Amino acid sequence: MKHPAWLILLLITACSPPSRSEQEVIDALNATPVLYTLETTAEVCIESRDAQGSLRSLFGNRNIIVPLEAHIKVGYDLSRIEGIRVAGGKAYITLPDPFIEIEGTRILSDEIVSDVTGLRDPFKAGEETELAARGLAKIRASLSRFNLIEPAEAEARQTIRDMLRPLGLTPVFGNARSYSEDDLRQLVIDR
Amino acid sequence: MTDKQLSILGKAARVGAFLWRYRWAVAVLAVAVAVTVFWKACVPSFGERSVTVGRINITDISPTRKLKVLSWYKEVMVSQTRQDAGIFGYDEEQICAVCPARLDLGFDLSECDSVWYVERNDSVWVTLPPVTILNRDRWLVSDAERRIPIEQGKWSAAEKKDLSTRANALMLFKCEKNDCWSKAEEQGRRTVTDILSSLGKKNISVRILPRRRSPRVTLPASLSEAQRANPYRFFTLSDGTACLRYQNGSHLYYKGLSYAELFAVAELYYTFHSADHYTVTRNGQHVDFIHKARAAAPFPTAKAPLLSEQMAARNLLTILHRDVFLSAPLSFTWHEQDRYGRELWSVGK
Repeated sequence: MKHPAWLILLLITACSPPSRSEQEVIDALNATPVLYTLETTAEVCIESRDAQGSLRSLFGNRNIIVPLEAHIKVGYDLSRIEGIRVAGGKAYITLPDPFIEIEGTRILSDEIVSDVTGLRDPFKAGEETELAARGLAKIRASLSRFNLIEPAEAEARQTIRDMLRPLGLTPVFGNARSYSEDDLRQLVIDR
Repeated sequence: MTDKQLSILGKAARVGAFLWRYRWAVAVLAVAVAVTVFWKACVPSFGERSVTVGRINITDISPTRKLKVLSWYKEVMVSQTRQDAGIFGYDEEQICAVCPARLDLGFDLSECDSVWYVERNDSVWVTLPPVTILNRDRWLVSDAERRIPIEQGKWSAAEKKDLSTRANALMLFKCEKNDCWSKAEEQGRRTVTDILSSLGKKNISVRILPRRRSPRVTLPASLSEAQRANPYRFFTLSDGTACLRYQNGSHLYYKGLSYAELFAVAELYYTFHSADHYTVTRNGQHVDFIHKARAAAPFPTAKAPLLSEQMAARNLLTILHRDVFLSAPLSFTWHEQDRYGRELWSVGK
């Protein structure tokens, strides 16, 4: 080994964690190109009621229904497309696994119905958020049950076909993968 | 014993006799008060409840062709403070929300026209549509994941909704301030070049169409659009002074501010203050903030609140200097006036 000092310095530089400002930038900005091919909206109502026969009902009722809307997108991480091969006017492409994500959620404040009587306190924004979080958890758990992957994949193929046509290329896609229930659950990612 | 002491003892005996006569009513009242206090203080308001999450309805499944090139994650904090006249003077109540937000910037590929790609000899010219916000309905925050660390008093449904709306607007403003658009354009150019290079193309020139409407121009086309999009209304007075009127009745008059500065000042006022008049005037390198109280306090203002107000004003000036007026080293003065326009105090920075 001719230059061990250089090698050690290089290793130290490569292994040291990025500085704080660098890390913040990495956390804040994500520049991975993604092709979204399907978007939809899920709506759910979360109802909170006093337990029946509760002693608290002597002081009044406190019930609420919170409607929640979640924006869902299905997309492909383009950085994971590997092994594109171009030959004879054809581009051989294997699409990576898609992902399903919840982009944003909105509590439909105008449609909240609450019934607070007697001495009970009105619902606070924090409680509404807590209920909405339960709705979000259920939406997230149920995403794999909706048929979102097939139309998203069809649209992805059509998009790539349309984009490659001016380039004089005809895309040839690898066989479509069939997903089991467990596979679909893996496709749901957090924000 | 003196006559006075005897008189007091007599009164005490009469009160004792009265209480003894209605002892059962007094006992019931005491128990009711004790239970109420226990209920309010000790029992968490969210226990013993049944929470049912209803059926999930998927609506509006639509295929889309959007290429995201940049995401920006951030937590935005919005708060609102109000003063209510209480028994011992003004009670200050505050609500504060920390909302996670994500902004996606990229291209809507369905807007590409038929000549988006031109190839001649060894060179390739690509024309992309303008960078746009890809979030559905331009909604960036996640209400279900927000935190409400402070919530004092009772807030109406409209005020709670306003928190999310302002968090969304604040995130859009921060995106503008951090120049995310040009970063997205740069990243988009790089992405398309990489994709075409992997397909064997050389000499690639990527052109991105300019944005049709700058989001910095927050003045909307019509009053109804303004009311829909913002928690305040815009007016222009006859002398050329522009005015924002908030839903809570406060007014902000401004002169000589850019749109971005105006937007930021408006957001900050809405966050920190309520139901009063403010005037902001920029003369070259100096900015005057005049706060005129709309109503007189029912009780004389104590010294401590005055100091805290001055501190709040100084903090606000610091935030404005740091986050809003980035372009030049400016000097600021905060003038506090009473309802008749007489100056009470002023602080500078």
